[in-house]
Amino acid sequence: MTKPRYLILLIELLFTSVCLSQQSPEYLFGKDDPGLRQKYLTETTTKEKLAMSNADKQYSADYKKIYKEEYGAIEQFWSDTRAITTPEVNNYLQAVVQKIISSNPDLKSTIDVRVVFSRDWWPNASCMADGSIAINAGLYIFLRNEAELAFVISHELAHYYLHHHEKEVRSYVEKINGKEYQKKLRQISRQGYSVNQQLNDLLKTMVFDSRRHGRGNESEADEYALRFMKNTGYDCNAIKTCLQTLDGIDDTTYFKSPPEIQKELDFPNYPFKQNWIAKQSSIFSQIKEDDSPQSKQERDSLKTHPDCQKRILLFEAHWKDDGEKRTSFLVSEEKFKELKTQLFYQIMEECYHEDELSRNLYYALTLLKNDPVNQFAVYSVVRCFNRLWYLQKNHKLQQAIEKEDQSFPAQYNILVRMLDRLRLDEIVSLNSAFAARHAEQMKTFPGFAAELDMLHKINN
Amino acid sequence: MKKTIAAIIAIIALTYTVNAQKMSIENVYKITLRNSAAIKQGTQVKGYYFFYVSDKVNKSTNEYTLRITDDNLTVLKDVKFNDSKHVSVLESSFNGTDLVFLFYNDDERTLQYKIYGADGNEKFTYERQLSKKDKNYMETTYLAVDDEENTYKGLYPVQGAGFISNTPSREDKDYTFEIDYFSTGQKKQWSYTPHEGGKKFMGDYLGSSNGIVYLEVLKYSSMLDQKPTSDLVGLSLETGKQLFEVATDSKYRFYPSTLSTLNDGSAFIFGEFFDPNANIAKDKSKGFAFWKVDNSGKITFEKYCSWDMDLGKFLNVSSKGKIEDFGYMYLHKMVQVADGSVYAVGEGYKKAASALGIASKVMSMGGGKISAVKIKVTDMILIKFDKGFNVADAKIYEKNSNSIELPSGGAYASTAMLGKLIKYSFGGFDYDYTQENSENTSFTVCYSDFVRGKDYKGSTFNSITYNDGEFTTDKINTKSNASRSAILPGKQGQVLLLDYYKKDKKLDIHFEKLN
Repeated sequence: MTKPRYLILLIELLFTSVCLSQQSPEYLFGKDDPGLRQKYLTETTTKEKLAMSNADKQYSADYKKIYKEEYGAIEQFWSDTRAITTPEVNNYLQAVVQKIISSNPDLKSTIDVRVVFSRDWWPNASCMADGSIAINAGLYIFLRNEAELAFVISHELAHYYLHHHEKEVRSYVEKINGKEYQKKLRQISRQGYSVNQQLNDLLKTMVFDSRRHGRGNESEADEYALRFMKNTGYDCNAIKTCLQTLDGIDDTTYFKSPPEIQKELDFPNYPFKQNWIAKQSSIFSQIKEDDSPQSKQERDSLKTHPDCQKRILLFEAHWKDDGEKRTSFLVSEEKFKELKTQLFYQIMEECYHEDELSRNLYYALTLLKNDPVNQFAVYSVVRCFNRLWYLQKNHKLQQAIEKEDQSFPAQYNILVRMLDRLRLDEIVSLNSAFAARHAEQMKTFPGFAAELDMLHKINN
Repeated sequence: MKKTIAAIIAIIALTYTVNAQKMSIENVYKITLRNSAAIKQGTQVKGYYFFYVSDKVNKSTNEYTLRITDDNLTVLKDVKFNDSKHVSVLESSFNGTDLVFLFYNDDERTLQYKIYGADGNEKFTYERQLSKKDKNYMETTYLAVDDEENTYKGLYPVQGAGFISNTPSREDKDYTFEIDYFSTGQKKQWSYTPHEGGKKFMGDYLGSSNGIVYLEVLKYSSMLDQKPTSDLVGLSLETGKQLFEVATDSKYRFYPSTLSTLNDGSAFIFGEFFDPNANIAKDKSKGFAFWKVDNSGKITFEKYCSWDMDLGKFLNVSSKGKIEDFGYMYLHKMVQVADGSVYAVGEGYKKAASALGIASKVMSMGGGKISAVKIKVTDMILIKFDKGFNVADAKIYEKNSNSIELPSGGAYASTAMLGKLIKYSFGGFDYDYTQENSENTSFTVCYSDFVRGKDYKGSTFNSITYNDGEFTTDKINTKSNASRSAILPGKQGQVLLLDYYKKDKKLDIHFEKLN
């Protein structure tokens, strides 16, 4: 995806956010539906029992170990705050899911799926072992229309319909218990020298096979997704545009219109200090990317969405325009756009509640840069600095802020470098200067007074 | 500390349980960590290295992996090579652009300095062949002595130019030391070994400034000499040629420990001074001395601050340097900050009656192996000298005192000697290390303590931080549910906490800021 397209997306997103800027946090984050969450949890637990009792007898211990781990993670997902079950968000998603399922008789067997938005910031979607499907808010905010969302859902439904996960688990268990594999391992273990080298080679072969298999599954899921989309009446060109977005998503993310940290946190009575962000001498400062421990090929494999270009070529080979008119929106264009703003706020809030504070602050400053009177952004910044102070005071800060990383955008690296260096008294001074700048506009914003009180207590 | 982390990671490598029925890659794969430590530029941590045996190639050869990370523990490079099974990494250092690792092969008696450039590639290798005498001497000195950070100390960066190495050496029957300079711009090296005017030589590298390498050299006329002469030696950084040698024991016996160029770019050296006829092994210092030295070795400024006359204004101190309730000060470090002020970091110790020693004497009718006198290690102290090197302030930072029982006869050792015993024989001081930032506007003194409180009883890691003229103190409780814990230096103002949970086979590593 090109930069101008991202900017349009951002402007579009922030234009709608202005409409919400005068509203309270409670309104912005309508309540989750605990009943629905409990229902999903119960369904997962039931499926876990079924999977355990049906586990292949020959290697049942291996299967049960895997299921225990996987189902434990799914149950955790339904138990914590990540799944969005808020009716006004969930109803829209269910409407799109139902459109797809009802238009594809093949999918009737997957009727027991549970599709939800998650509040996770990273741009991904996943189909879990029991047919629970999570579409991350971090992916949704990049989608341009409902057809792209339908493609993501269709792709995940296809994985479940095609039993990809089950097949992968079976393939893995049979491989590690296989005669050939066990013989090879015994052979290696009996040798005195170059043991690790041979194990590395064996592991590489296994990983390579697994990835090749995994990529085959992706292509197959794309092929089925195309069929589901076509039958539903969504514009199938969305598959290509969505894959193009996914291809570049790791190094773009929402940070395409980043805040300028130095400007946003510079105040006449408390000027920004350059030593917070000044670069220091570092080991291997001129190391080339190719020299790093991960080879180019490995880095590509580790992308959130590898092989998108190949998947686009395959789509183009399969897709023949039949002249039938299909559309980008079948449920609601208005709701789709509204949710893009809504889910961005949800990501921000989830980052705060999960103590991913460097991200929370960065999202808040991004919002503020593009909408200087956004009350929720102001509130989030003050609240985040208070929390940063508390964690730093109690020696728990470092688990809440990320470390600099070459793959992060420059301004985010500047922010995390600054957070890594700020002293306790500097956090307080910075927050006080920020709060004072916005105090007048924030008088009536719910929750702001409490944060201000806390700041005063810290200051005294 | 280095040993602790090595032990922790070795445990992880070896805790894979072996399942006889079914094999898995994890229970066959084995790696052994040999060395690990922080990579520093002066006192600043710039990264970490982990040197481990990643495979056995044959009976005498191992495959090694040297993992180099940045100061956030992000892996920058894995250097893999095959070498003798007798190889270990002794030290590393960073000079702002280049990185050096000192490898030691104890079988072939070789020291190998490998230089890596900013691009991550190996630039040069310098080798030094040790004689059997060199090796034996090194094993009883350099390789046996841990400094305050429990790492070998003898490799120093020269900003953007190269590295200085200081290792013990034997010349015929003399015991001396060798200074080596390894250029990083081009392959060039020189060595300097003093061997005239004494039988034994001990040298400290003070620092480099304006193309001059400053050394403090003690010359002993015999192995039993208790009153060595002290000289300040200047070498040319370019050639290694001696430029000057100045006696530092004329008016007083001055033993410089620190070099700083922060005042006006000139070289200032700081340290403790003694009476002209003092026996440095036994006698207590008279106070602190500050010299300014020009490029020809001429002393153009000298200032002496005595315990009673100068420090007495701020502390209740005797002429012998005994501070009320605190005892004598052991000087750990001197730091100069950007505004020109100098801070001396010390820790107190004093003799006290030992109940255990007395009981032992009574029980054994005057005999017993434990002395009736023990040592109490008391509080931390920071003494401030202004830009003109006048005592400007002194503050004691209280901590819980430790007791060190002495062997019978220990009571007769002088207090100065006891200080050295606590430091080098008993490892009894709580001081860990001091770190400065690159702008010299901040430094952090770290030390350990033990707290017996209502809410917490256990070890603590403490810090005193100077930042732009203000001091703050902080404390991290280090007792946790972990099976083993360790603390390593991090960036200035941060520490790296390692907790190993044996049951879960989990190693939790994270940084924390010191407030």
